[in-house]
Amino acid sequence: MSALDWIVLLGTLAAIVGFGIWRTHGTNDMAGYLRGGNQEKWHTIGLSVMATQASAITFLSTPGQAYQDGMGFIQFYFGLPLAMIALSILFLPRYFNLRVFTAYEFLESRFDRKTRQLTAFLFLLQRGLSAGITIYAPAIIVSSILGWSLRLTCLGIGGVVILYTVVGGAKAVSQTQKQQMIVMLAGMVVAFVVVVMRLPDGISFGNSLHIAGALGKLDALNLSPDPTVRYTLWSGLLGGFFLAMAYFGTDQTQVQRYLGARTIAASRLGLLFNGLFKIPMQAMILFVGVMVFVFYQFNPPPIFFNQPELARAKQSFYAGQLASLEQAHVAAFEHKRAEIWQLDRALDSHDAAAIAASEKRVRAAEADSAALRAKAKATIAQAVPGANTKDTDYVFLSFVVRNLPRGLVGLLLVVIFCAAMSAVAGELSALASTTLVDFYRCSIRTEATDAHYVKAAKLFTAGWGVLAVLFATFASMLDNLIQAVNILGSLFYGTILGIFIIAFSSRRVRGTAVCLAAIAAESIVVAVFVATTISFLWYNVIGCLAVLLFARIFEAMPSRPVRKADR
Amino acid sequence: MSDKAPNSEPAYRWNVLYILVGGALALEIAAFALLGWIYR
Repeated sequence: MSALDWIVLLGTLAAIVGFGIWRTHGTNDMAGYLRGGNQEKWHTIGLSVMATQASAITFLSTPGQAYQDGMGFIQFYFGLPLAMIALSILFLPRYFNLRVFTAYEFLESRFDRKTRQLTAFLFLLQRGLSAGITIYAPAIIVSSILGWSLRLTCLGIGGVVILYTVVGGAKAVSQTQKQQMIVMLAGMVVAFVVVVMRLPDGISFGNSLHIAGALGKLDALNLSPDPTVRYTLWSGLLGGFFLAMAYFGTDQTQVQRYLGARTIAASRLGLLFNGLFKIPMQAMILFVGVMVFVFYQFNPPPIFFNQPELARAKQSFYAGQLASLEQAHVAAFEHKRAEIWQLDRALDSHDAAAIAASEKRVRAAEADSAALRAKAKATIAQAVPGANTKDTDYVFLSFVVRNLPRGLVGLLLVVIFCAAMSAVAGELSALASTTLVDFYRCSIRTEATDAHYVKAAKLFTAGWGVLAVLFATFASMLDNLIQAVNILGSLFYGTILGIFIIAFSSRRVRGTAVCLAAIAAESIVVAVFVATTISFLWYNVIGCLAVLLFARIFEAMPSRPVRKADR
Repeated sequence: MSDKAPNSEPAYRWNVLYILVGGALALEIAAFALLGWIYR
């Protein structure tokens, strides 16, 4: 990185964090610290909701996913706008009327304390682990490519977030997220413009789309009814709808963002803003990945984008094998590039037969390249036991570092750090709120002043932050856990959503029935996860429907006399 | 848009927004289908 990149990176981060602390220090009442004093306007809510979901992995991994698999991942978000509408109608009025600090507070008023604390505990478990991963995942990629210390990178991200989140609470989170989101969007637009400008002279934008399309990168929709196919129109609309309902409706990380609104109308507008702009934003990020793919049809890509892992493999017995694979890969690239130029000429001539023939040759050349990459990955796996052979997370950042002009590298790193910080800040604030409201104030210290609870909230924020940084620092020893944590959300969200839907829709089902139903539903979801290859998006549907079914069955069963605590 | 009690809130204004968001989703899905079809 050049001096200009460092100035851009550190200057922008310092400005955002400094502004957030300056605007929000001195808050010492619970409503102010946990809900931002209910002063946030709809656009701050909208940007804050988007920033909380968009972690650094969104910007690092999504372009790489498009590079490899095309635009199909966009289907994951199709259920989100419908969920925003449903939440605006069904959930918001109840949260606002009860003036809750956390989503789980509502469950005690409807069921009982044990249901509230069971659900809050599931949230703390899942989100607590996730906060560490939100720091670790971008840190490992950035530190690998730039040669930084992993521990210092984790400490840097976590330390800065802990500072402004402890000082300013929920309001600091929202204010900084607004600026971070603006920087993230601007950065991605800049990345898109630069990658298009880096295409060779003589390749029109239209022809570059044809090239991407010929190689299957623009097939966004998959209409397959097969539930084992991960991203389809159906899993996106239905599974994605349930996932979005659970995440935005019951996960305190998001609920806290829109409970800080000035009015219920501002909250609604913020959610609908998210519903309107989320898909275009994700499409743009995926499209950057597609254009990076086109760039690498004219400029030689590495055979494996995780260069440090490749370097480790080259120090082994398999060095010779890898060297010949790299040579073959270069030759395959030259051949493919020649075919792509032929395709470009055929497109300009508008000769349909020539275009079809040329596309066939390009696809064959691409298959040869892909086969060599697969061989290289298999060789790396043999050379370095336990090596991570998935390199899609490294595609975008390695493109940025090698191909963007000075200053813009710093800007794209700002995007990645802003995304990491905005997501972690939202998580820490939510973890602290839930610990304080659903456990500490509820069961441990029930009578104390606001000032005492704010101090406790600050301690909990710092505590969860330290835990997250510690977990991130040691996460490299637990590669398999990362994979488990990534699907942890979908393992639990369906069940939690089912609890809330019962709470909203049925007066007859009581606390014990709902708790038993949650346990039964969770067992089914885990069984499906272990025994089948059904896409994880469907877990949300299965968990939710199972809770709805079992709750009614258990409630209808003959039982002991009802205690007052269960009403 | 106001935050008055639901009964006095003009529901049609919110309904228009809900239709707008749902309509935008339909248009986006159609646009992706068209993109894939044109550049297949």
